[in-house]
Amino acid sequence: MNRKAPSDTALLYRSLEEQAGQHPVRTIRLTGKGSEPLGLLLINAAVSASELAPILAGLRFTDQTRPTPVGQTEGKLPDLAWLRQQLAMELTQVQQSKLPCALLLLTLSGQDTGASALAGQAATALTPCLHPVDLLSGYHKNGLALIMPGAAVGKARKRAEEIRAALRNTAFTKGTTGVTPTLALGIAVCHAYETIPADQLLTLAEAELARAAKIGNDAICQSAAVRSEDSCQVTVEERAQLWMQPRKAARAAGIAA
Amino acid sequence: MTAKTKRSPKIICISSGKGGVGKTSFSVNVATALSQKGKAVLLIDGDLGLANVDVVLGLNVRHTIRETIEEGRDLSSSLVEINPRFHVLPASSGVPEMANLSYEEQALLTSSLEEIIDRFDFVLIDTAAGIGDSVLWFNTWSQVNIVILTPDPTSLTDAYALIKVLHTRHDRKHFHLLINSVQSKKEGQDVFANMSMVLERFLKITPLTLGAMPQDKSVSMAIRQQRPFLLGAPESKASLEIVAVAERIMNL
Repeated sequence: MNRKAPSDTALLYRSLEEQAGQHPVRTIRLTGKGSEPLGLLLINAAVSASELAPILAGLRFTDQTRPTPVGQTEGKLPDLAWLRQQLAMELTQVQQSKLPCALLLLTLSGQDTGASALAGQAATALTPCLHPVDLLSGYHKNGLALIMPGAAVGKARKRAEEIRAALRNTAFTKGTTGVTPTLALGIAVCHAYETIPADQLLTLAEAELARAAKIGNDAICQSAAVRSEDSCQVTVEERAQLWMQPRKAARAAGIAA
Repeated sequence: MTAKTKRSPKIICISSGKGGVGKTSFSVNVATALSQKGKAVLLIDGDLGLANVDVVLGLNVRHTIRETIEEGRDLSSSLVEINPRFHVLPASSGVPEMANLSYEEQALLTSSLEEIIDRFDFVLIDTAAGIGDSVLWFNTWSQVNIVILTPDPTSLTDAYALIKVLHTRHDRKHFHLLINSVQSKKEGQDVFANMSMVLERFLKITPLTLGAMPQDKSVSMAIRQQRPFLLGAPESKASLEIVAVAERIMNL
């Protein structure tokens, strides 16, 4: 377990990635084997992959190209395989940056057909809610997956609520007919002090999504395992021990008086 | 400013969990005591949304940390000289959005602070109460963590909660406890012993003591006069103890 806080360098890199997401640049993480990120390359997006490949080949580092700003290209959402790949990269980054990473899964249901069309409309509708470092992909036929680097449970929940509000205000259509799909949103979070593999995070998020779908009413659920791990609540036993001495002292003062 | 030469400052974070236990008064007076001992001290008001250091010192502040974060203003232009060896970096009051800085803002503040702190021997950070993001961030950025508590059960619980969060989530292991507002030396010792026992039993942490500050009228009087009690009542019990605490801090 590594419970260290993010280093200044990691915060700086994250900040640069955030900013890079607003510009036509490609971000490449130089990760190495150490506990700290080695560096960040920002390359003009106009440089072609064929031009870049020989340059990158000369680097002795393991490089991880990060798509920016989101996974949506030419109106088509990337698939689940892409999501797994990106999630694995982000979770590696969690170990190095010490910043958490949240995965949000959402589905739209209640319609017989045209689920993928609804997911596409949902992707467009939630675009204003996306942050530059977010990664959006499709999730099966009727859903979306959103990787939110840097988001812990509280922030992820808040952002899920924003997304839900945006989708509720969206006029979905199936052909020429207006439809109102039921939403379900499931969140799982990975923290640096206990990183988990991408598949496990996806499983956790899927369990929460299933719970939300069962509840209905556009519910948002978050991973209970992560929630309890995230808690540092002072226990009853700890309180009892902490208050023992003041009580003794108060009793003594009362007796003396 | 006389302290122009590059130094390697000791960064000390002063937190409490509960509010109103005397963090700011302690921070201002210990900074005064350290400066009287010839050390160059920077006191940062780490309560970024509800600042108090300027109030306790009666300062009329023009620029704060907020301008650095929001406008990119040079942090050194916000420094206020109390005496040639004691400077204050004030924060803003009544600005809720300053209480929770984003990653980018934290990174900016860190790099800005690193540009100015090497002029000082000691950098003291008087944080906000609670376990908010800025409190945790300042604590992880510091080398030394001081937690102030009083004998009240609420203060004990909140101080313990703060230590638990810093230890569990941020890997902090070494804490210095200062017991404030004690009626007797023995009460201070008892509170420290009890807190140590709980920390050792549940978190496997062995805290160190910085001392116990006695209840003293000169403390509340000095706050109303907006002046350090060390200057207003240098012979008071509180002043004698704060000097002793400053010496312990110099040896940390």
